[in-house]
Amino acid sequence: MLLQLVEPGQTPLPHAQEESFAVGIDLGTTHSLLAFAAEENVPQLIPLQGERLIPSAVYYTEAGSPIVGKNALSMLSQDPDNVVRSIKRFMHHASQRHILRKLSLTPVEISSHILAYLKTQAERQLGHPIHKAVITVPAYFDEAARTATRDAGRLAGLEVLRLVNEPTAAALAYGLEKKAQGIYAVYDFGGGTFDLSLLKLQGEVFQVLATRGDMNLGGDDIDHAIYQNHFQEKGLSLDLKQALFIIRLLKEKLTDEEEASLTLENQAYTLTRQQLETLTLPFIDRTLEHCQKALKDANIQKESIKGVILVGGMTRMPLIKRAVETFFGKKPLDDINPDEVVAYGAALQARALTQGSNNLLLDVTPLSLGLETLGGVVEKIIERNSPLPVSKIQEFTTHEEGQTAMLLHIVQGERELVQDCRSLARFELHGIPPLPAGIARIQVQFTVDVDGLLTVTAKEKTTGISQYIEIKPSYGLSECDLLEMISTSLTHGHQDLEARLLIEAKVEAERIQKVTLDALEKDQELLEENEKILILSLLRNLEADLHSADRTTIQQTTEKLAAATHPFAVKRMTYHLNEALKGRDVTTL
Amino acid sequence: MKKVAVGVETLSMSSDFFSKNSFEKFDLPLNLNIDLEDLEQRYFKAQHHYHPDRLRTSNISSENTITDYAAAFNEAYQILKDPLKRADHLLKCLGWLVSDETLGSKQDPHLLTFMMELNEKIEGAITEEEKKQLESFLENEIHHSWQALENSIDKQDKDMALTCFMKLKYLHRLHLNLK
Repeated sequence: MLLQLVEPGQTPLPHAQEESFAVGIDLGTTHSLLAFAAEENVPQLIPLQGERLIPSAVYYTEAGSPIVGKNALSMLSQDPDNVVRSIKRFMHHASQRHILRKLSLTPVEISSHILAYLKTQAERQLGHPIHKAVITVPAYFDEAARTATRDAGRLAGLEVLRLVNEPTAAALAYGLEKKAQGIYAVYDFGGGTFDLSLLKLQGEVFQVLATRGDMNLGGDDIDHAIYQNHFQEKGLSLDLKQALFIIRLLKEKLTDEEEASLTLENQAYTLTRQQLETLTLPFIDRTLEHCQKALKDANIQKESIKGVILVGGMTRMPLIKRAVETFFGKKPLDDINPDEVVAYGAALQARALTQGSNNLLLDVTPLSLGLETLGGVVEKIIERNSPLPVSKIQEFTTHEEGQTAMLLHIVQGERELVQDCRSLARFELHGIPPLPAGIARIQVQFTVDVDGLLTVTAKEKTTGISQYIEIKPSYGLSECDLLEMISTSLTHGHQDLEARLLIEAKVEAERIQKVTLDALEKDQELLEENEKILILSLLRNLEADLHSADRTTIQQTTEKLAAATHPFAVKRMTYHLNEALKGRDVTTL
Repeated sequence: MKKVAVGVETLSMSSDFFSKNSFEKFDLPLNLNIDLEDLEQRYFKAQHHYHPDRLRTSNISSENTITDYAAAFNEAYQILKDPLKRADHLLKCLGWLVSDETLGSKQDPHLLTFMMELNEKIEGAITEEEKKQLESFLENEIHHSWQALENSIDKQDKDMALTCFMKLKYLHRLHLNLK
């Protein structure tokens, strides 16, 4: 049940290998995964504390320490206010602060807690320090969300080698493992975002032809629709976060069943496949519109597509599989697990960037970039679907006599008017020599690098005055703040880590303790006398251990208790036929 | 598949590279028609050398320089693979087209009338049948104008080439509107 952990750093590796050690991280809306390719073309998922998929949930303890993963999810039942889920959906509203306990946290910080957890757990698992990573982002993530993701990585103590688009990572995994060649469509429907990318796989080259998507179209939206249609009006005592979690569990069960139900604290919740499908249809239609547009962008006929790759948890839904099959006219591929394929691609790219590889990823920018001109109209400088890196120069002039400064307003989006696009940054170019209107020549250069991140420089040509700006969307963390936070986290890193591990151990122990006590209260007649004695004695031991600050002892006793209660859990489940969480034992909820 | 020996120069490339036109960047002759597969191979080969992902594991200069090269090849590729952009670039390389305004001053009244009538037809097309008919008409016109452009370039007929190019631009826009 619980995995034996390898102690880190027993045999330090030589420096050269240290440099080349890099992992791939799929930082997902619902789950996050970490993979590592120890050999070329052989990526492996690294299970952390025995779990392949780590729930992207964070619980903040009274002391303000973050607890990540299933332990955080399990706190939903007791303390939903201090649990954060789906933080990825806020990455492009990175200035929005989330109040948890006494903390006021940005999505960057919360995501960094998830990444830090993945990093430390993987370090224990691999027995090796991890400093470098490739992190995946939805192809349709805008500049702000990309920067926020990169910063979250830095804050977690990771050098982010590359931000790789999720569909591109998936194609890389398919291309290398399944030797796919030709034009492929990657249909990526996850918890929070939808992407459709068309790629040409030719030899060692993975060329993205076009990408379309929606940063706010995912399984979470369907969960909300279900909540509004079937849960809200019942006036249930559930907290919204708890309800959404129950809905997700029901939805997952409906992959194989026609009707799902779940009993929690004597209240039964049911959902039928019919209800789910009715509510899902409009969302599927939206995804297919994107597919249509991407085909048009790339000027490709459906018939020339060789295969469709499914990515993301939502693609497990039979209705979605059928819709994709009907649209493209071929059976989609899911022979690499749609939940895991992105992490594999990330691990492969991490290896390629540290050890070298002949493979080449040629990706594109998903959204156009431009400048505000007179009348609030956008002058596009870089068109969407431009291959990266891209660099464009545009010349502007002054429109007033003696004008010495100029305001540049950089926007991202496809619409004609500034008000309909995403504002990225405003900056002023000073020191333009006072000349008659229309004489000064100001060159503005836009460069988008292979991570999809933008740099803008401006130069007045007659004098050579130049200004350099790296676009930093205003999400409330300046570069200074960030550097300070990084250095603080490095200084206190070890202390923090030990403290956090102890807290995590305690939370896990208390959770199992509580679950066991509840179970005993309700169903102790199911136990044999000797089983009961064992469980009770372990409970006493655990209670004593909890008063100590010895993490190892707490963990060991917790594991023993978990093992001892496992048969009890099985019995209870068999007994309560309508117990909803089939296949899970009591310790997982 | 066709394998092409590509003359992409090594990293000792001078800054002259950036003043080269898109054809020269890929070591291709100034030609209206190019072999797209060959172009793609040259492009991939160039990116194999200059894509920033390559930099991580080699010892070459700074990432900025590499990014500039990779971006320059990307831009040249985007220009050459698109027929209209390629034609526009070629006419500029030949010195026949200075800016887009040059083209505007070359307005041919007959051409303008023809295009306006065609546009009205397109806006009035309702049935699939009508649309299909117009589409094949447009494709045919595009084909002929392209050939005319080719001929006029061969004959060094600058005015004719510009007229053909303008017609092509209109036709392409109408074709897009129809879709």
